[in-house]
Amino acid sequence: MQYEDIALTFYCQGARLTGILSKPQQAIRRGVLFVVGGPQYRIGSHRQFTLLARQLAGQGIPVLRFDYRGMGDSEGMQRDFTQIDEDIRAALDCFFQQEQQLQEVVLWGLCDAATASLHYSHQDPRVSGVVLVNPWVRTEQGMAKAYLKHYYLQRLLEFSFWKKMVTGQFNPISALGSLGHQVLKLVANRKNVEIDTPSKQESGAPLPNKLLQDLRQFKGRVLCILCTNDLTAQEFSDLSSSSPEWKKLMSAARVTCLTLEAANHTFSQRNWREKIGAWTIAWCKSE
Amino acid sequence: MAIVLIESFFLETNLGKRFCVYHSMENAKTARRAILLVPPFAEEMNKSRHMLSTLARTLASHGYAVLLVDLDGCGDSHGELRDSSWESWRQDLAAAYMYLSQRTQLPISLLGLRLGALLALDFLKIDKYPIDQLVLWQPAINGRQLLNQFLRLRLASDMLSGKQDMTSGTQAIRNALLAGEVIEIGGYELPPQLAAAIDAQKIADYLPLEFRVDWLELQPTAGVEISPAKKQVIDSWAQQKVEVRLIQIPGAEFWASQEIENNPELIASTVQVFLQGDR
Repeated sequence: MQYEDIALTFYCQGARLTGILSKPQQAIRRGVLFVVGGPQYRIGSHRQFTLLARQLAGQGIPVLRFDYRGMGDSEGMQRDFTQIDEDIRAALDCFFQQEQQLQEVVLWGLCDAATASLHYSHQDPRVSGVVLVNPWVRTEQGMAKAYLKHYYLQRLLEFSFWKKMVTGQFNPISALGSLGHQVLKLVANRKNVEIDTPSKQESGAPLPNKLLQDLRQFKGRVLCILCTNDLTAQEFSDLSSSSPEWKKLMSAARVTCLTLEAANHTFSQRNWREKIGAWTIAWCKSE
Repeated sequence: MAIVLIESFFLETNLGKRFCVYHSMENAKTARRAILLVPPFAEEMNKSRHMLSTLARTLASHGYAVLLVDLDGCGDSHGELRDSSWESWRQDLAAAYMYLSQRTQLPISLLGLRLGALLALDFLKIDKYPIDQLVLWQPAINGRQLLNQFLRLRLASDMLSGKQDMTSGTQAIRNALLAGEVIEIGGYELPPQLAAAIDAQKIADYLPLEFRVDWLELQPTAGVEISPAKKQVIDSWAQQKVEVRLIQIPGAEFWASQEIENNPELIASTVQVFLQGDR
């Protein structure tokens, strides 16, 4: 299907933000807003958001991607993913103004932008769904656990690891030092791990609990995509099976979980990107 | 604070649409000069976007008209990297130059970062568009070196996934490129013709006699001298009557940093360099 890319400028609290709308000739009523996180601007790592937006628009889904304040071409002070609610709201206002047929929007975010999208989702009735790709829930003990479980233990089972050991390409001293460091963190946080049950924490909670609250408050549909060769995704995967409450929320009918085998954090291959694009299109067009 | 006009749009060219951002002072009857910014390659472009964008706004607030252009298959421009070429990039610069010239009716200067500096030099040498001043931000002096750094990303990822060990070097990837294969590196699909063109670039092959050159170089550690290879190029240019000036500014390589880094001092010095060029 034909689509057109349109450059847009809109305001957020006096700052001018830059966005690109990929506008299909015959658009469906559900749009996708790409929220961009980390150190990237609206084109994404290896330009993946430009290409994903075109893939979606080619299937009739209107897509807006933009730079929040202080990123890319947008004005304003630099900020992180915890301070972009106003930016998302401004982008949605612009999106609905440009695409008159729009009825609802899906927020799509990778890494900390996934976390920011879920946080925003229940504050705006225009948001009917969120796509969370490798969502960011980092805590030191969570990372240490994920590292131990998914990296070192797995590597011990790999032939190439032992081959490198034997041929001297692997430095066991530095690796053990790094492992020791991770384990120390885990032990140091042991007490916190036991005390930190979700029921005991509500306000001012660290990231994992905040995410749990956001997921509880948002009533729309959720598509969660995890790449198997990514520690951030592993950490989320560990967290989402860590308590009965998490398990219950994640197994709800409105939540769909998909895993992409072998893919890394930014799914940096054409076949991986196109797969995630296809999953997003199918999920957006269902129901 | 001067009000700066920021206009983003897609420029129609013979080869497709190119994303541009035009900056100038609002309501200014005449600007001082027009400046075309030439971006660096791949992830370096992503990481430096905010700096180039901030530079454009700052220069506009000082009375310049500034155009930032995304090349064929890069950023928000049309096309895919795998179908782009060094020649299409030069044509993009020509289209951006013509647009800027027609819109402002002003003399034009160029600023290029890293590989963008080499592309700017090649464009000026071959296409012979007249300019007043060329500002180089940490120019890549050797395309082969830059390409090797990029190919090593692929090597590292192959090694981590157990496909290859580091000892094989970049030669296997180079051989695949020579055989005409498109190579996927860190999500970028590098076509052989573009790789070959980058590989062949050497800053020492250029002799920019027709305009003033300001070479701005970042110093990660205070007191550390510019590399001998770069010094050699600058000395050789100076001996051959190129009007070249080296300015060193403290700061890290913001185009290669993990998080977004800004360098206000580099921007301030660049404004000064253009203001001096006006005199």
